[in-house]
Amino acid sequence: MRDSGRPEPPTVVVLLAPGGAHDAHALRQVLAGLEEEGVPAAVETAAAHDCVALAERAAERSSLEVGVGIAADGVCLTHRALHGRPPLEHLLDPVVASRARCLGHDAARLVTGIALKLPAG
Amino acid sequence: MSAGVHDAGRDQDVGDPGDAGDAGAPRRSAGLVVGVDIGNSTTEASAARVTGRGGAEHRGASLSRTSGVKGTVDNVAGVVTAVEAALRRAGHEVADVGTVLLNEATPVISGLAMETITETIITESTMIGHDPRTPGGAGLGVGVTTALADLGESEPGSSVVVVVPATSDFEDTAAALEAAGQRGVHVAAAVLGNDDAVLVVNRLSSPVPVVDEVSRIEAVPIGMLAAVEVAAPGRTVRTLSNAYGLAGVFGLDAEQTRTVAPVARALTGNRSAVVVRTPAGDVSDRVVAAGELRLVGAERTLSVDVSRGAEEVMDALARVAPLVDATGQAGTNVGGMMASVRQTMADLAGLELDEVRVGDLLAVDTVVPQEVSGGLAGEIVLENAVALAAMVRTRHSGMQRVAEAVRVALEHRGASGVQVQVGGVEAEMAVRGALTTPGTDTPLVVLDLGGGSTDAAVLERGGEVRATHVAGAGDLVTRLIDAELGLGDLEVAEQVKRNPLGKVESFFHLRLEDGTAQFFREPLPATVFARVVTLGEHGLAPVPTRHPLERVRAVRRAAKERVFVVNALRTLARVAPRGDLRSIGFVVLLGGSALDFEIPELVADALAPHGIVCGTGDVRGSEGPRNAVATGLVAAFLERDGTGRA
Repeated sequence: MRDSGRPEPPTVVVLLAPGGAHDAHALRQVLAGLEEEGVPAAVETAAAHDCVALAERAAERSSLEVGVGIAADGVCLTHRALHGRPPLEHLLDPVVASRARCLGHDAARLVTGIALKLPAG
Repeated sequence: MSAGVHDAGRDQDVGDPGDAGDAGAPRRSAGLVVGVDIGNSTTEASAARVTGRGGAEHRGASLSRTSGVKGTVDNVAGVVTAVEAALRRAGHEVADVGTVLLNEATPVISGLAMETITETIITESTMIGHDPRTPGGAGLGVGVTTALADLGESEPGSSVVVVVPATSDFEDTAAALEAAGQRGVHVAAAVLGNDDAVLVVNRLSSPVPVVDEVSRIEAVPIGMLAAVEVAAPGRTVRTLSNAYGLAGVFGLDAEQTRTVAPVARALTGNRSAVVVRTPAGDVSDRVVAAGELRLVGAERTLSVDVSRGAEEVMDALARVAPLVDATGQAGTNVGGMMASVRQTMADLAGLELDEVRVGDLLAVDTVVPQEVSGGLAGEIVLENAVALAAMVRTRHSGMQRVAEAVRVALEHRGASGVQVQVGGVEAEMAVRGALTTPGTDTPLVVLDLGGGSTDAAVLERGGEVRATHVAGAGDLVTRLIDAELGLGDLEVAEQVKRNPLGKVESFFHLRLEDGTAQFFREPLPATVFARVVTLGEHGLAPVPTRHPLERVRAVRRAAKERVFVVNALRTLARVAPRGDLRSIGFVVLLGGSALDFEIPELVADALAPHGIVCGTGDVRGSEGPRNAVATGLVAAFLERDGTGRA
């Protein structure tokens, strides 16, 4: 619940540090993975260059406790319960599209409780 | 039977090797006796001090890994380790030992084989039934299969099922479908190579059923009438899993409906399905000619067709009993199965192939998930299979040679003048040892639940011992679990057999199979998140399966029942006086599987209606189901000549 009193819809939060075309590509794949699994996402932008820190902030904001960070250094997925610990998945730049897609699936599966795909590497 | 054997180690301090007050106290060499049981996987030893007048104090027990194949000179290293450990626990050194007693091993070697007896074949790519996790849309769509690249050439007014290669991006796919729709083409459904069904459907102005993750999308026949059905979440397809539904969709007559009935059956239970009507297309499930098993009994010989199932095999086996030998029809699956089992046993026993005589068989019906031949997306069908465990009796015994080698090895380590004897037949020794379990009495039956065979021995009130061995035990359970869950990994199957299951529900807790929960302070690894896991000694291990926990548990328990409960009843009927189970008073479970967390209760439940007291042995009230044979060896030794030597 926010100050307005309206319940916030449940979403996985994706925090994006806009930086270039490759970020947009990663974002598209992550969102596609979430959408295919049927879990809603909210994209917000932030100025940062560390995807791990962004993912932690995103997880703090997400009502589903799952956050994705996308910055120039890569893509990261974490859960609020893992705060301060190594993130679940961390793809370094340059990010392969199929692995970003897997990460999106896993972001959704953390919410729905389905075994993760875990992009290799 | 166990006169004079009492346990000092349990409630007394054992650290007093001097032990005064024993008139005629034995000299060290005569006084220390170690019984050794060489098993298939472990070697157990029990050290005792003879106290005179046939009594003994058990002072130390040990367990070590068997070195080499049971009954061969390679066993010496394991025996020496076990003897040393038992003596050390008794406060002695190797030099103190007087007599070492070895068991005459159970003369049984076993082998296993499994063969499917049904086979599902798809010809000309007529069906896609792999059940992807996230299909898109809902409902039934019927049209002519059309490649995405050729969609622009479809006539307005025609109905099409679009076939989309994995190279096409979901937005491009959705745009092409929309464009076709605007030209007046009726896009009825789509079949995708990628995992994109929900993404494509979300981008269409009017959703259609979409099936995705079709791995061999290029093999889908083009230009054929096809039907695609996707059920709403939580439901399964209704039309394509119904023979008359298929008849309605494709306008089939009675004869044609008969031929598509297997398609309907194969799609039952799926949330999504595709059926393509091709001129010669068909799905058939045929029974493989498994071949005949020839069972040679003492008085008559019967042949039984294995594809008729385990029950008929076991019926025939009962009718020819006692079994003298069994062979499979040459050139058939059974022939191959039996040949491989015999070869295994010949290798293990060091026999020539034509010397191997199968002494017992256990046939078990099972199902094996197998990839359908001709499938387009790795479809899996449960095929029927039969598993066979066979057992041979071996005549040879290498125990005398082992005994001599053990003597040399122990002398070398300072035990001068040590005597090493083959102290008794394993089954008899096991019964003697089992009788030290508090609360038991004769008539008593020992059920040794091993890896390859299940052995039973009965001790009557008069002291007479009879033993029997039947095929099928822990190894067969592992194989059944492996096959029925489609694991393809015997190590994982072994873990499933040995340990309770749990389902990881968050990073910090899991739900155990009994419904309770367990919390962890450190987050669980992502590799086990939301997975069914085994709770083994080394922590959690994921079970690589899509089956829910309940299914894995049901398979595990059913496998144990079909092997151990069946064999408990078979062996008891053989050793019970007049075959009457009610005349048995006590059943003591021994062997590795008696330590299992549920096998003893499954067996006890099955025996309860016969008025039998059944439980896991607790040798000398302290060793559990271990050390029975080693303890029995010492007891028998004392009865034979223990008093004389003191």
